[in-house]
Amino acid sequence: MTLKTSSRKINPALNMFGFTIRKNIGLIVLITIATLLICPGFIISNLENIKTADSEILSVDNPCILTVIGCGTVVVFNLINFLFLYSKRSSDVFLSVPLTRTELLVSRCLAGFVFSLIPIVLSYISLGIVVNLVSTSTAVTSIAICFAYTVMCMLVCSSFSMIFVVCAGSAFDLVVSFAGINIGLIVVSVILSTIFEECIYGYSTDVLSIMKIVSPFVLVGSGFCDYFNNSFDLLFFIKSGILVIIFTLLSVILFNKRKAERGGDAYAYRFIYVICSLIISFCGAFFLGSLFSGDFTVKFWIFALIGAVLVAVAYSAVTHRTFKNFKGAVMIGVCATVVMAIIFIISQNGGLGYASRIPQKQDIKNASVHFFATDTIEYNDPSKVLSLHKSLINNKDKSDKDDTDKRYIDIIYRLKNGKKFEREYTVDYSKYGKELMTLYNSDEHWKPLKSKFKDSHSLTVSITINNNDSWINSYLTADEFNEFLDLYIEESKNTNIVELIMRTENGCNIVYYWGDGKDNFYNGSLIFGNSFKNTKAYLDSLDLNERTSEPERIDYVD
Amino acid sequence: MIKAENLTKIFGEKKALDSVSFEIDDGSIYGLVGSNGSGKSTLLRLISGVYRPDGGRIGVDGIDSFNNPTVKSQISFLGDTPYFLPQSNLQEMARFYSSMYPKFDRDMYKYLLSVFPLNPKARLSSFSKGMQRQAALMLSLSSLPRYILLDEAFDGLDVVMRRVLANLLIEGVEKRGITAVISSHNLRELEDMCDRLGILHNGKILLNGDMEGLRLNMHKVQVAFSGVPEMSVFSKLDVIKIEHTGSLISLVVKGDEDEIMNYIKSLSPVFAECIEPTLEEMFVYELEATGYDVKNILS
Repeated sequence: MTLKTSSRKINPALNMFGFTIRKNIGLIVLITIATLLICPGFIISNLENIKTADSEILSVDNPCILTVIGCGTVVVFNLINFLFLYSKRSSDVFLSVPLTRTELLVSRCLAGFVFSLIPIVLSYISLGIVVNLVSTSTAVTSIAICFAYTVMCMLVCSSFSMIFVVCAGSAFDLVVSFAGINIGLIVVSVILSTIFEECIYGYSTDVLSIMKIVSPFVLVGSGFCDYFNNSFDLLFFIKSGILVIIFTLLSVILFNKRKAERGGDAYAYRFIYVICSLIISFCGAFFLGSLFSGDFTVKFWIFALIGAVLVAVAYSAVTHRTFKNFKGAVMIGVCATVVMAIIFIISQNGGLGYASRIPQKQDIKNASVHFFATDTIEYNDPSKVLSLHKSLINNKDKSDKDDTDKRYIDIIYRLKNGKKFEREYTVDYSKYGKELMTLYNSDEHWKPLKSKFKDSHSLTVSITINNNDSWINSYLTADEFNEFLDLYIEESKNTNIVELIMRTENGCNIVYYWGDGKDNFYNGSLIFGNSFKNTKAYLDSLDLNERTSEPERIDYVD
Repeated sequence: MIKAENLTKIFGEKKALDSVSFEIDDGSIYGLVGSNGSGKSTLLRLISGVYRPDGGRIGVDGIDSFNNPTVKSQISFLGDTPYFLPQSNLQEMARFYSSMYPKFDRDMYKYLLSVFPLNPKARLSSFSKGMQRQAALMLSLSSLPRYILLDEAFDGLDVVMRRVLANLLIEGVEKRGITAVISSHNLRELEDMCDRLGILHNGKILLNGDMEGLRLNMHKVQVAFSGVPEMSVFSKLDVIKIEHTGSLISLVVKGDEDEIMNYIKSLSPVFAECIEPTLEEMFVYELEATGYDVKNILS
């Protein structure tokens, strides 16, 4: 006969959440005190400086520190809260309590997030109060936005780290895989960028973009920094939100599928070991290959293979606590080298069309080009830039790579869809002289320079003239500089690119100029050879040697 | 009722449980016996929903226990080595269990505190192995589960505490109708308290029987004749085992005691005696009859 027993109405999931919070309350208090000491404690201790500082300083540095603390704390708490998974004794207790796996994951994870948020919320509130006392209300709004960014960064870090927590089988292997994959991915980004730079014609070095693709931590970190450089970006929140959903769903699925008996093994899921092993083997391959050969020669690939296998075997030994899995580790090492070789071959063959891709004229909003001896030249009509770009692709000469006289050409298109299309070339200018001179002599090149001097803050332009290694430090009045510039522009139409860039040519002059613009400082250089007769004659007529010290500045009055 | 159908659990390449099927009726004490690595703990973890079966089904009242809070709230599983939250004491653990199990009974907890002499405010990590086992049992019993699963329950308990635990379980069965599943590698520990027994070996259930039925149905007969008779005279009996030392013949026979003794007496022995075999003997005879190497199983 079953005796009826009274049953209370309880919510085990909510109780698990509360219990986890209570269990860590001491730690939260400590972290909160430490966080408050850093921010705004440090600010209060420097109040004298802050009163005179721009309010933006308050809303830049400190939220960054708080975000780092918040993200670090939430990741650490996730590790602590799920340590029970890594021992049979503890998982017996936690996995047999009346909760679904999803409820268990969410309650523990949410508890970790909430108590990571406590010090951050308090710090932001304190920061807001301090800023409100010493600065404008705009800064407070900015802090509120920063808080939203911090929370989003924490959510991404928390959900991403949960994948590692669920996949690991022991705390040691959790730390190894977490560090291995996340640091490894950053190193892989640098390696990929190096390979692309070496192999893809026109590749525009952008390690950060690769890092943002492979590492969620870098993605949110750079997104947060972008806020300070640009402005509030709703897209950041949308992208991060999608990532949080994906990572959370993945964690829940993996947690539900996780075999409890794998607690105590290195990993509950083998794929995390394979991924980590591949990443660090890839790094090992490049490291050893580069150590023994500066270029992608046969020697490089032999040592790359050795490096990858060595790292894979070492990692396997650490993971399995034995060398018995030697064969599998060798296979992973070989795979990592093969992956690198495939990337190399693809890059050598144009990077899946990257090297030959040019945007359509109708898709371009504006274009800019930057090459030796010029400032960046902006074009609303991209025709001239497209002409140079086509010429660069059509006349591509691989032998240029060994030419020590090659120089850079950077092209940037801003597309109508908001994206940026960027290419960087290092080529022999003489092959593209016509296109380069068209750009050099274009109105778009000179007009901005001339307008700068017209509106200049100072009425003089400091110059240094280098004439056959004979240096003159002097100045020109704004009018004189403009006259000099007119003559230079006129005569540059009759010259060629080689003369412009050959600094060592006999009789070559370089004029370095700098001055205070209305909004900022500007500087640049103009190069001219013997064919610039009128320009040279004008400078000679000014007796620049006599002008050793600048006249007293007359401040520009609006 | 706990019911397993073709239950299979595989660890790597080893089958820890291989198509195991059994039923455990409500309101009984079920003893699970087997040597180390036979699959006892795995079976308990599958019942409690800690492990997910790789094949077959296991559940309570027809509902699978894995990932099912309703079923899990009726089960309390106590592993072979008790686990407590880091730095916790018995009071804190009681709060934890109380927040997880809806039937957790404070009065029962207080009563058990009087039975087990433990300091509820002392850190559990400072307790001896036996004390930790007592603490874990207290928490399990206070949760008032319908099913209590005890893995190597008596491990670390002294004789007095073993008796106390046995009484508590028997009391639970009688008063609240609980079902206890107790695993042990020692058959003698379970002899006096179990209603049913199952023997696990290499992931398979070799024997799953009712204790009373086994006791009533198996007899050890010692008989002596003036001369040595042909062994074929016993062929009318369901003999499991037969041994003879000199003129003394020992028989293990299945069947009704009276019928067996009447037949033996009809053979005009000089001496005939029927002895009740111990539980261990009964299992040894049963298993030997099915061709198993008993020494390896009941080690």
